[in-house]
Amino acid sequence: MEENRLGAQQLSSGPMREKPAQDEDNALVKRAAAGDGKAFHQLIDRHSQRLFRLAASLVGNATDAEDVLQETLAGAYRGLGKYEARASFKTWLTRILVTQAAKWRRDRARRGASTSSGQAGMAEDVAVADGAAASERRMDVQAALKRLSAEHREVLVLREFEQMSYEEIADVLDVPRGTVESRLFRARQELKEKLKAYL
Amino acid sequence: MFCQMSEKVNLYHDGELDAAERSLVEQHLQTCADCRAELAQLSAISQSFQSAPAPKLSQFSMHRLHAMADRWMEDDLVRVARVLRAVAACVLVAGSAWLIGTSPAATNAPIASEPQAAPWMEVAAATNAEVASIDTTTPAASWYLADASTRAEEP
Repeated sequence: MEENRLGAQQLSSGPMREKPAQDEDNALVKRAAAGDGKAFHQLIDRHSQRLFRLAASLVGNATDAEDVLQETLAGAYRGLGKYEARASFKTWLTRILVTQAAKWRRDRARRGASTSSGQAGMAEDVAVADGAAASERRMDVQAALKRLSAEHREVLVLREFEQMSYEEIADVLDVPRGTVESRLFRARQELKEKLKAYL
Repeated sequence: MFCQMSEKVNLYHDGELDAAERSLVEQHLQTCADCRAELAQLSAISQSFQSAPAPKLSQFSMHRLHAMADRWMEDDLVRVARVLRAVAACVLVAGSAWLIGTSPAATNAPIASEPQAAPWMEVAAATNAEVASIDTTTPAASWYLADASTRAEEP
């Protein structure tokens, strides 16, 4: 019952605002799936910057984020015919990216690569994006984010950067909505602990 | 301190409650300092995320992504061309088999004219004739045949 009410609330807020963009995406996807190369290039232009930011937040450095983005777009291109518009194209792409980022983490763990080099790279990358205006608190949010578990980082990034609703996050992560609620709550508790000096 | 309404405050902050629940949380916030502090912290965190510098893809990286997409499309065309080539080959083989199967010779239909023998058939026939006409009574032939039978008897 509560879930239904909350679901109705979602429909009347965020997702409805994105309807025109979704319709444009769907039209482009239809054309791209029919072999229109220009349509796929337009989809790249529309989503790459957002996906890159998300990838960088999930993997922790710009170089690997680009690799994850390339794999995401390759996966999207191969799967265009299977896209059913059940979820928005943005959510669909995000789900592919989160999957690719998880694959990247598994590969890195298998190779036994240290995480410190990537994290240092990300700290530099985010610093240059905002130049001298970047405050210490901003830097600390990024640094604290990287010290969270992958599960907590995913859910926080999707909520705080992507402004996704709980339903959308549940769809992307393929978990029940209740799991999103509890995971996000725990992630924030952990983040607050790490940012204690600034809050 | 940890208030039991803390989780609801998170949902309230994220706009994930319906009107009735929102109202309940708002009433609670008026009396609970911990939850007010929780809400203030959540807002500060969200503010920090929103104002965090966003890493941007360079023009070069964007160009590279588009170039890669072009390559995927070309690869697709090559794959389609390969499939078409395979289909064409199958059609050719099947068509040839069908033509051979339905040719007048195969169906014993009346033949308009005698087909000419292929050149190699004439050569083969001539060779057979020559072999048949070899005179085995000549000395050379006798010597060869005697020699061959001797060799055959050797252990």
